[in-house]
Amino acid sequence: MNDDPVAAFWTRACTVLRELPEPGWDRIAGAVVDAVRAAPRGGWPIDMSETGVSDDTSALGTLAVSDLVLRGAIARAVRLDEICVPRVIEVLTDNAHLRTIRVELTARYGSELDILADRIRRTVLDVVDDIMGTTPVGSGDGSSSTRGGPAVDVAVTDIVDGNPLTS
Amino acid sequence: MTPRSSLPSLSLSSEVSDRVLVDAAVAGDRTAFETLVLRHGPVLHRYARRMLRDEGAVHEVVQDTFVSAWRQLSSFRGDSAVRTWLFAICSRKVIDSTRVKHAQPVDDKLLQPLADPRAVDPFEFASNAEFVEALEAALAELPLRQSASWVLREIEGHTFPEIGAALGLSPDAVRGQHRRARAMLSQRLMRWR
Repeated sequence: MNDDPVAAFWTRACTVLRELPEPGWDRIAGAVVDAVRAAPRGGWPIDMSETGVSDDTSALGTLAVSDLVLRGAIARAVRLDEICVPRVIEVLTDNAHLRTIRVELTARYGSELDILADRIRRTVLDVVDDIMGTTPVGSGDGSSSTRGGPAVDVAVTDIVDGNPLTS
Repeated sequence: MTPRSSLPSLSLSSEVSDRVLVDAAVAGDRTAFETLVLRHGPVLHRYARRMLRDEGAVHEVVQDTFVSAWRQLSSFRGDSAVRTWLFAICSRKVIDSTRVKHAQPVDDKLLQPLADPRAVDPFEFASNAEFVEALEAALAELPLRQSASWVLREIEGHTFPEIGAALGLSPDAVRGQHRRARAMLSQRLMRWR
């Protein structure tokens, strides 16, 4: 208990201010989210012509997808509760053609890292297939050479106790 | 296509750390960033409202804060907490906003002491809407750095180094601003003590 009446006054006053409802935020939250969705962020185009889009459309022009679209989708796909979270996702291109995807992860202590890396590679290639139409071939073991997609490098850069998602 | 004027479904648990959300957002995951918006929006709105009071300006500042944060994500290096980084952006927006909008005159009667200040229960007053109005009016009269230091310390619970990072001041400078703000507020709100 605070015996100083002035300090007690300020403590009480600040508590009152902190606990005041903020109806103003509820009124603008939707507009703020919309504004963020409408805000462009610089990204690098990835040419889709080399990754499975039919050649007979090439005469009509090129089709590209932003690396942000691909990296965002990969980030969602490799965020695995209780297992790992992505820290960095890099997409390396050569003249706008997708060549390599590098994923840096934080994994849970005790994870079988080689098994995890294989799972991440397969997941990443599945995302590339979904978005860019890379033709999957081969055994489906995650190897880019057998699936015809980009190389996928996986690096575990941090290990944490507990769930990486909440650590 | 995401429907407009709708909030994101919170598929991400409220327990997911800010750092995980930022890393995902840097990669381009808008859902992760929108979770950050919904998580930190209320406190940034509260801060902006204490600093500006004008509803339109508050909306503009909070919205611009998140749009700027989204665009600047790749420059976020993780040297400070995500919340501190957002407050730093918001503080700059507040300063920009006040540069073009001059302070409104305050009704001095609201701030004058009562004839007998001991006749009232301060706790009763502290929960009184009139007190809140008087405090906000007094805050609006303070220089910007003083009011920001006081609000971030007393209302938002930031440390002096965190406030310094948000306002671009040293922790000692923030302490000085906070001390002056508190003295001025105590003087202006004598009526309520």
